[in-house]
Order: sequence, then C-alpha cells, then structure tokens
Amino acid sequence: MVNVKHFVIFIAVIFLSLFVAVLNKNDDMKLQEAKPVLRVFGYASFTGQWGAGPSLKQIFEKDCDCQVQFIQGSDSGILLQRLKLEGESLGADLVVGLDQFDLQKALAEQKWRELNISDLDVYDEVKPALQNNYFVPFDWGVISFVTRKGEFEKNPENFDDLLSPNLKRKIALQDPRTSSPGMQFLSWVIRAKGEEAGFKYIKKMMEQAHSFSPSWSSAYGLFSKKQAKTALSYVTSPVFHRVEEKNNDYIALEFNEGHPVQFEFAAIPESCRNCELAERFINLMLSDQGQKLIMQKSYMFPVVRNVKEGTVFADIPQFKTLGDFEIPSTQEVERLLKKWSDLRRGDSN
Amino acid sequence: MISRNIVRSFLLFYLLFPFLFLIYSFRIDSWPNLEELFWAFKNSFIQAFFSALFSLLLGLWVAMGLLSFSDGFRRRYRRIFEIICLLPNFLPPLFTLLALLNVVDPFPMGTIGIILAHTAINFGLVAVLITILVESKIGSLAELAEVEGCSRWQFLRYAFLPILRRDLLLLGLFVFAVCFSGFSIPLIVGGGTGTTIEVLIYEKIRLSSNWSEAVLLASFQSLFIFGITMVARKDVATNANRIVNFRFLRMPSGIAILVILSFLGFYGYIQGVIDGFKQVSAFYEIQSALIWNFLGSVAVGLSTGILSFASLLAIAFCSPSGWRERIMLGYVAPSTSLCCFAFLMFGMNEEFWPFVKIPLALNVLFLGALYRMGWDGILKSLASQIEIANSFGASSWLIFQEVVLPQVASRAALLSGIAAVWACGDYAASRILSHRDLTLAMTIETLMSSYRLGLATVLSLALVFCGALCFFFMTGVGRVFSRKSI
Amino acid sequence: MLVAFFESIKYVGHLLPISFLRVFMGYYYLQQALNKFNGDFLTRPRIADQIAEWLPASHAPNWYKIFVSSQIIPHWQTVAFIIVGLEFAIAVSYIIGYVVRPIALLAVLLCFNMLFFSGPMNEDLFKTFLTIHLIMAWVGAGRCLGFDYYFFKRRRGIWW
Repeated sequence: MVNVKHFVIFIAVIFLSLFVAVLNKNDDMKLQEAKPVLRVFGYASFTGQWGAGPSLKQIFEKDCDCQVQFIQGSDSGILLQRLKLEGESLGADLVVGLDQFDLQKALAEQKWRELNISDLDVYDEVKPALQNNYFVPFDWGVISFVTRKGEFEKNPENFDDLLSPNLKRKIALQDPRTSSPGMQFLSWVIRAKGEEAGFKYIKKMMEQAHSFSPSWSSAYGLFSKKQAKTALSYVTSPVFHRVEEKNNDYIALEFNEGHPVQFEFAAIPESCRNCELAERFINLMLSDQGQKLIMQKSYMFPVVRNVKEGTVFADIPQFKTLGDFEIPSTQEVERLLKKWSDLRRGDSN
Repeated sequence: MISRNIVRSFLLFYLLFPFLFLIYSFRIDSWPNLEELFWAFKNSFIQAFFSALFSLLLGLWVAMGLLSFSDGFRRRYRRIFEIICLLPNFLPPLFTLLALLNVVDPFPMGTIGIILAHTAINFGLVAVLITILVESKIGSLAELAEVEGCSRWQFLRYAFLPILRRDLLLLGLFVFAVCFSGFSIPLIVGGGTGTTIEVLIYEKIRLSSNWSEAVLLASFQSLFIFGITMVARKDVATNANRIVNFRFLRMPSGIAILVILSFLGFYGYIQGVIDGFKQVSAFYEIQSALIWNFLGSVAVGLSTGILSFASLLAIAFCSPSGWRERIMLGYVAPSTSLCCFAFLMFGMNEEFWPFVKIPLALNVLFLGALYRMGWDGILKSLASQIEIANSFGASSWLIFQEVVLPQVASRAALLSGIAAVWACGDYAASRILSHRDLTLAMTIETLMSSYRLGLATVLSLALVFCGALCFFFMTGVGRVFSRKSI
Repeated sequence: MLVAFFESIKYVGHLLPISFLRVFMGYYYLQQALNKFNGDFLTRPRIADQIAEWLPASHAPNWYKIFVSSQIIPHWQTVAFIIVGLEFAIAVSYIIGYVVRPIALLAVLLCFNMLFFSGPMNEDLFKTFLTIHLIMAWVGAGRCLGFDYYFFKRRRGIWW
C-alpha cells in the first residue's frame, strides 16, 4: 500500500500543478492577447465582490476591447500612500475612492490629469464638489446618525440631544485619525458650532461615545450587534437593511444643524498608461447605468440627476445639508486632529 | 562553523531588513512630538502591563485545568480544550470583542476595557503554553513532591515559581509585546486612552505622510521591548517529554472557568453565525471566489507556518550564539504597517509575489513573539548536550541533525502552527501587500465594510476551519521531523 | 537518496542504455505536453475534431467507438486536460526515474487511445511507443539512473 501511495501522490501532484498552471495561464493568455489593461486603484468595498467595481468592469470590458484590473488598497489614506511610494511601478490608470479630506494631500503628492466635467448634469448638492478640474465625484452620502426604531422615546434632533444621560456610552463613533466618517463628524461639529464650542461639545461627547472605532465597519458592527443605540453612518444605511434584510427598523436621524456631505472622487494620475481608457471608465461611472450600479452596490447617492428616481433611494427623506463645500488643507486637517488628540489626552488624564 | 555564521548573518539581516530598508528609504529629518509620544507610551505601557499580568494569572489557572487532562484517555479531550483556548487567536479582533461585549454588559470602556479584551484574547494561548512548559520542565518534580508529601502551596512556592519564573516572565513579555503594539482593540474599547504607539505610527503614515517620524516611533517601540527583555534573567532550563502524573497540579476549576468563559463568549458568536446563515444564499454567486480565498488562506497560513518552522530551526541550528540570542529575545518587528510597506517597496508586487511577500512579512512580525513563547527555553535546555557533542568533535550539522532536531522539531511545529493560525486570521498585512482579496480574512473584512457583518461571521467559521487545518498540518510536520531517522 | 540515484549505475548498470532511452522518451513527452499546454489544445476542441475525423476509420471495436462518441467528444475539455496531465506525468516520471513502472502502464493506455484517435500516419509511431512503454514497465527502467532504485532497494515489490 505504501508503494501505491507514491504513485497516487505523484499523479495527484502533477495534475494539481497542471490545474494551477492552467488557471494562471488563462490570466496570462488574456494579457498576451495584447489587449490594453486598465488598472483601477480603489478601496476594498468598491473593488470587492460586493462592490460596484466588478459589475462596472463587466460592462466596460464588453465594448472596450481591453481588460480592467483592480488594485485594492485598504482605505483612501493608505491608497494615497501606496500611490506615492510605488509610483509609476504600480501603473494605476485610475484612482477611485478619495474623499474631500484627501484631496489636498492628493494634489500635493501626485500630479493628476485634468478632466472635463463641466457639462455633467448633477444634483444641486453635488455642484460644489465640481469646483476642481482633477477630481470628479462619482457618489455622495449624507452623514448622519443611524438608529433602530424604538431605541428612543423621542429621536434626537440636534447635537445637544446626543448629550442626554440615557445615551451615555451608547453612541458608536469612529476615530477621525483612522476613519474618514470619523473625520467627517469632527468637521461637522466644528462647522455647525464653531471651533471653540465645537471642541467643548466633543469633550462632552467623549462621555457619550460607546467607542471610537478605527473604521466605519467596526463602529457599524457594534451598532448592528446592539452594543450601541446609534452609530455615525450614512442616511442611506437604512436602505441596505430594507433591501437586503427586509428590515424596516433602521432609520437615519435628521439634525437641525444640517448634515455634512461626503463625496467620493475618482481621478486619473498623470503617470497613467491607458489614460483614454481611464477617462472612458470614468464616463461609464458617470453614466446612468454606472451611477445606478454604484448606488445599488455601495448604498450611496448617485451624483447624476434623475438616476435615483423610481428607486428606493428616491424615498429617502431629503436632509438639510451644510451647504458650503470645502476642501480643507492638509495642515488644517492635521491641526484639527492634533487638537482632537490633545482633547482626548486631557480627557484621559 | 562557517555555515552557522552564514545562517546567523542571514537571519539577522532578514529580521533587521524592514528597519534597514525603511531607514535607507526615508531620510530621518524630524522628531516626534515628545509629549504626544509620552502619552501614547504611557497608554501602551499601562494596558500592556496589566493585560500581560492578568493573561498570565488566568492562563495559569486554566493551564492547571488543562493539566487535569494530561494522562490516559482524558489526554484525547485536551486537544478540544486547546482549540477552544486558541480560538480567539483565529478570529478577527472584532468578533472576539463582540462576544466579549455580549458577556460583559455594561462593558467598562477605557483602560479596564482594553485590559479585559486583551486578557480574553490571550489567556487561552498562555494557558496552552504554560501547560507545555509545566509538562516539559517540572513534571517529574511534581510527581516526586507529591510522593514526598509536599503540599500544593509549598510546591508552587518553592518549586513551580522559582523554576518557571523566567519562562513565565518571557511569556508575560510575549503578551506584553503583543498588547503594547495593539491597534484595533485599544481604539475600540479604549475610551480616552485608545492612543497607543501603533496608532500614532498609523496616524503619521496615513494622515501626515510623515514616514521619518513613523520609523522613529517604530524603532522606539522596538527598542523599548528590547530593553525590557534584557531584564529577563538567565536561567538553567531542563526539558523532558515523559508523560507524568499531574494529579498534584490538577485544578479542574481551571477547565470549569474555561468552559464557562467560552460558553458565554461563543454564545454571542454562534448567534451571529445563525443570523448570518439566513443570508447565506448571497455566497452562491461568489462561491468560486470563496474557494480561491480559502485556498489562499491555506497557502498563506501554511507558507507562514513552514517559514516560521524553518526560521525557528535555523535559530536552533545557530544555537548557542550568545548575543544573537539576546537580540532574538528582545526583537520586535517595526509596526505591522511599516514592516509591510518595507516589503511592498522592495521588488515586485504582482502575480505570485504577494504569496511570497505576505508570509515573509508575517514571519518577521511573528518570529520574535514565537521565540519568546518558549523557544528560548527549549534551546537552553539543549545547551549541555550540544556542548558534549561539540567536545566529541561532532560537526555543527551532525549535532543539529542528530541531537537538536529530533528534540525540538515538535515544539517548533507547535509554535509555527500558532504562526500559521495567526497568518490565516491576518488581513492588515495582506491588505497592504496584495492587490485583491486573496484570503478569507480579507474577504471577511471587505464584507464587514459593506454592511454584511452576518455573512462575515458565517465566513469566519471557514476561517476557523482553515486555521485548524494549518495548525494540525504543522504539528504533523513536527511529528515527521522529530523522528530520528529522516 | 541522491547517493542511491548514482549508486544504481554501479549495481544495475546493465539497464543504463534503456535508462537513456527512458530519459529521451521523457524529454519527448515533455515537449509534446508543453506544446499542447502553450498552444490551444486545452482551450479549443482540437481533440474532439481529431477524434471525429479519425475514429470512424480506425480498427477500434464498435463498443469503444460508441463510448468515445458519447462520452469523450462532449467532454473534450476534461479529456484534453487528462491527456496533457498524463503527458506531463510521463515526462517527469521518465526523466527523474520515479514510479516508472505504473506510469509506463498508463502510457501504454494513452498510446492505445492515441492509436485510434490520430489517424493512419501516426499509427506506426504509436505502435513503436507502445512497445517501448511496455518494455519500460517490464524491466523497471527507473531502477537505473532513477529514484526508483532507492525505493526498490528498501521496499522491493513490483512497483519499482
């Protein structure tokens, strides 16, 4: 029997190796077919199986006679670092997923191609985000607190309501140093209350926060597991539960102060190899079909007008947003974060 | 001798590579803010110290419980308890944390919360390692003490603690080093004290792109751990593999506490899995991707395990080597993100390279911890045998092959099995070094970032299976190598 | 093991000429397999076309023809994969001299099939190959300049 084992293992190894080689060969062959490859650099929830990326890729590859390849980075901050460090060797033709807090840094660290986006018919909330020529917004979300029906006798309507004693340690927040929505919250409070009053408020919020998670997913995970009564998320978050889980219990809370808007941008680095394809991909992302896909997969609002009409997204109540759009400078972001850190340090002492 | 020196130099270079490469790549032109550093250091230190202390205490208790299953038919059941002990190491921290938050309600946020979470994650591993230590070092002594009529307290006071002091200290140091560089747990449950040096490093990279400060902070962190390891006193070690009667050290309450904690903890987890199963049809369309992810996890887990196994054996081959051992004992890789960026910037990143770089990076990150988990002790216990073989004129290769390898292979395999389990659960390093979701852990993280916590919980079962597969494969490798004739 | 590899020349030296033939056959099969792997043999129904063209004219028994038409032609992708896999297995086995006997029997099986699939111009070639493989299996060609000697020395048996 021992001798038979040698034979069986030998055959198995040969066939398994061939199997692996055939699978790899398929990829290689496609590359060898001399089709141009469009390399899209994006974050996991866009390029991953459940993101809009794979569906967009499928549609794009039908007509472009090219191949779309996704390069995945963990989040927009790390995305930019990789772009900076790996530079041209990364060969990114298109970068997807920067938010407004990354833009200044992205501009400072990388050269980008100018895009012609003046004729886009976008929602009014999106218009301010079109003020630069390098980054084009492809989706947007209104930041808000999300809760379950019945968690509150009276839903909070403003920041001060969040300071109520029965919310002590019940709000899942994100750390602004590691998470983009966390930074949005910090900026939201400061814009709504002014810097001094804002930081005073944040100091009080430290008592209310269940936790400052390193990422949106951890904070939302804590909230979905009922560890927190409310979490900082997006107005569109309840739609996910309604569509995918058939659960209508989740609602977004509207605040009198108005809500900040988070935009996600796409841009083409100057070092792109297939720049024209990248532009075409952006065009697909901004087409009605692309916008619909992004909306349905990422659970974010489309930027192009009339796309959400007739869908479940049209039923989402219009929250008052903080009208002005600003691209804060890197120094400003760092200054705010330092102040935030100092505040927490004081809080901990 | 020459071959040993080559292996030593190569190992040293491999371990120092991330530091050297980062210092070479980024000019150190600014210093971190000392006040900020001190604050992060204080937070890191306090939580790491108490986490290590409580992990050791609870681990010791549970280890006594595990010892109740050390002979006869009961030894078979010990594997199950050991897996339960190691389970928190299989899963992404959020799952363990959610299980813990289910048990402790209201959860004390802040330093106490961090200590609680770190203790919950690490005590099982510590318990398994203490059990092995006790069995290999003081088994016969416990038998003798019982025969001589020594009380349990006297034995613990005069034999157990003095003999195992250094090993326990090293184990404590291992937990300390792990917690000192903690990232997610301190942030989530830390309240105001969530900023550790690791968080500061991440902040420097992500927000300010200040690599020189990040490298300096990482070096400081490593030097600090290195410094305190120097405090660990040299001691004589012994090693035996005889199965002995541990009636004297048995403490069934240790098993009881393990069972109760696991039941409470995993109740929440199992609930999550059941909830997740309701949406499991969503996996249908990506089943082939999941199969590849599973194979990817196995590949990363096994290659990290094999690499760790080879590295540990290489260290054993070089042993004894005086100052190099001290370096190994205190070695801590630079923070995860920095270490991975060093590997990312070096050479190619396409095609199969992530499968080479991820295990290489993970091995650098884990090796110091594995060494402190008892590798040092077992090598010391062989020092006299090596000396005798040396004086008989045996070559270093012959000594390694005939004396060292058969005695250390199974322990090396156990440690590398643990490394394989950690590698299966890793997503942070893989995320930086790969261009797409290669492993289950990465897919779980992606699922969580797109609202699908339930599906992620279900998928984590596959991750546990994958971790167990790698762990048992590595222990099997150990069995093969510990046979004398290869 | 490496020592045994070369030691075999000393003790089973009379098989040395046949071991050269074995390595040559291994090299031939490696080339064949690589050509198929790099070409479109695995992606296009070449084998199905070949069978459809030559099988009806071959001397194969009727039951075999029915079996091939109903089972092999529709599953040409799997068959192509198995053929390439077997060719690689034969190549590696013959070159390093490992498990040569059972692999030679598989090669005989492959040759038989190819005899019916490949048309009259290749008939003589496959008949010759058939004989060579049978001889390989008979003499245990892996015992000289091959790893089979190492196992034969320790375990004996008909597998080496």
